[in-house]
Amino acid sequence: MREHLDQQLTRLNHDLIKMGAMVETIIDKAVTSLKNQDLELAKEIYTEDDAIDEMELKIEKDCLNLIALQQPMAKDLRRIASALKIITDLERIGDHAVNIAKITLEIGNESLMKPLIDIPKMAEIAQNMIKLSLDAFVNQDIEIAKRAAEMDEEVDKLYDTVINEVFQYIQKDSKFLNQGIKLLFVGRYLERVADHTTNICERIIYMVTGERVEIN
Amino acid sequence: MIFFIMPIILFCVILNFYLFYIILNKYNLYTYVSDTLQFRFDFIQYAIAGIFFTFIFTCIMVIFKLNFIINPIKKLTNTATKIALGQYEKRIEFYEADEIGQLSHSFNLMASRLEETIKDLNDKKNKLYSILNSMDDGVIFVDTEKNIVLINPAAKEIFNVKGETKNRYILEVIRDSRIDELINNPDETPVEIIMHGEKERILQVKSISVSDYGTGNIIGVLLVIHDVTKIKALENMRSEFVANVSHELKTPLTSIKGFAETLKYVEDKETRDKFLDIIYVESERLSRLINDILTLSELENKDYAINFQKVCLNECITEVYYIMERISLEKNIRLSIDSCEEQLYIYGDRDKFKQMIINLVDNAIKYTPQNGEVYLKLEKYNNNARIEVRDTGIGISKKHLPRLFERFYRVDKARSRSMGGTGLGLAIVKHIVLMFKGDIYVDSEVNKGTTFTIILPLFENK
Ligand SMILES: Nc1ncnc2c1ncn2[C@@H]1O[C@H](COP(=O)(O)OP(=O)(O)OP(=O)(O)O)[C@@H](O)[C@H]1O
Ligand SMILES: [Mg+2]
Repeated sequence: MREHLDQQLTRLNHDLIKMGAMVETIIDKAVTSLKNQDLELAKEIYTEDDAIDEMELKIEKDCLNLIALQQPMAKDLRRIASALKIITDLERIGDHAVNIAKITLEIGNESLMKPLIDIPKMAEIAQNMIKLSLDAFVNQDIEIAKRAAEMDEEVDKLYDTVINEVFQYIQKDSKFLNQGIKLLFVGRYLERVADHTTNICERIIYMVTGERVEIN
Repeated sequence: MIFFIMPIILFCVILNFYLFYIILNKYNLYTYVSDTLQFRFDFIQYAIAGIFFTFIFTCIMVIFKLNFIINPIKKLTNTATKIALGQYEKRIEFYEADEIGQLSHSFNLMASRLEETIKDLNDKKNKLYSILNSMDDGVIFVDTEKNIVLINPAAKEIFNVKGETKNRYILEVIRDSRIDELINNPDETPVEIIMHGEKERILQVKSISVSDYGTGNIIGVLLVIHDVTKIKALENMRSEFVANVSHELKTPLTSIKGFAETLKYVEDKETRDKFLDIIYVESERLSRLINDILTLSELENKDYAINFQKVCLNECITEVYYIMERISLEKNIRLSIDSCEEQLYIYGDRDKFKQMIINLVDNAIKYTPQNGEVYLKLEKYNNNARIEVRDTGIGISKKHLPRLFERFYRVDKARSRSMGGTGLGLAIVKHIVLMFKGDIYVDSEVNKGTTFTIILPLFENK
């Protein structure tokens, strides 16, 4: 019985890492397609998000089965509960990737009002956060988790810069209004992605130490 | 051990009693000798002493014999333990002809076999590892649970993997869902994966499902990763070249066609002459372009060594000087030559050498404003010939230097084209320098001038 539980926990672990990897890829694609106005790539994101949603359902089902059939205790239970939370955050990040892809498709081939600088920077940090949080999960390393969570602040700062800059453009010329709002939304989505990643980091810390922490 | 000795001792004791009893009966000692109690008592006393000595003797014998059996067994155990610990070259030294000796012999035989097999396996393993380690392509093998069984250094470098990899879940080590996808559907057709990151890389990954040689069961998936970034870049360069060629050919052709067409309806002599001039200039350009392209492809074909001969550089340089002098005078540029006294020779194609210098001097004159100066210098330098073409012209800014020798690369497209430039001159120079196994350097400062330096290995007179 015990070994069975261990095996199932390992499988759960692997599935979670897989879902994380999928999310990492989808965010990468979302940002690259926006930057290069690559509409084909943006379209791919929809199918990939479906796969992520499916993965979430599968992991959720597995977690519930584990709890119901194996009655895990202490650390194992904490782990399963954390997994349940983490997948929700991962799934939301996937949704934001779709949101960004939607905007990429809306902008289409019309030329960008300015070369994107801060948004890719935000994306890069957010992507890095996801990567680090998964590293933290894989290695059960709370230091990495903390480091990842702290990067959220930088994303917030960049978001403020993006808002200011877009406002300036819009004030100068109202023809930027349409695209400006879209870019603002992209910034918002990325900011949310970073928030979800922070949640994941907090979950990992809880999973390892059993302590609840609130970062930022 | 005690269980072994006790029955033997017991058996001896019983045997003694039995013998004693037989002797008593046989000689009928009860009646033959005076039948007194005293006698019986003495007799029993002797008998007991006899039994005691027999007992001691037996004990000694048993212990002695036991050592004979135990020692070799101890040796055997020792050696077996050592072999188990990896000292496969250990053997037992025991040469008695008895059963134990035979056992030792068989044991040694087994040990030699074992040593051979293990050495063989190790050899094979080492060979495999050396091959994998020296491969440029990444190789990863995962078992059916997607845990890494094997990953070679190339693969580690491609995916930037650090730390322990053995038996870890592949996505823990390489977190890329596309890899997972490939492992799930191994079908041997290479799939292209673009890795974003600091440097974008294009990978071709092949995934092959591997089955056990004996049983045929699937035991895992092999990933072979080939970095095709460079090949792709080359492909791009080639198609860019074709696009460039067609574009460059089309431009003069279009104007020739256009002017020739309008020429039909032009009566006025002056306009006619002007148009004819343009057509002439453009066709001139076209033929130069075609010549350049032909030269380049000729240089690329590599069987140029046919025309190789001993070439005197001093002569060639002077010839080039006379050819270019006229052009420089037209532009009011002072062309000076500084040839060295010693005759320098290289082994190569004479015409190609001259063309190389002409191209450089031509550029120097072309990109130097009126009243400027161009120097042509030849000297010996460490057993090499060193040729310098220096001008006081417009110069080239740093950012253009790395791409300067590429085909069709021009710093200022409009300006260069208006001077009839095709952008192939330096590409040809570079090719010729390589053909001579030499080197070329550029040094330039904007608005100050440019210096091209060529170093060529001298012909060894033997
Ligand atoms: N001496 C020089 N001074 C300044 N710029 C130079 C000099 N030599 C070459 N260049 C720059 O390098 C570019 C490439 O030179 P290259 O000789 O390959 O082509 P080109 O002179 O334009 O055409 P052509 O094929 O007719 O020689 C030129 O367009 C020019 O901008
Ligand atoms: Mg030239």
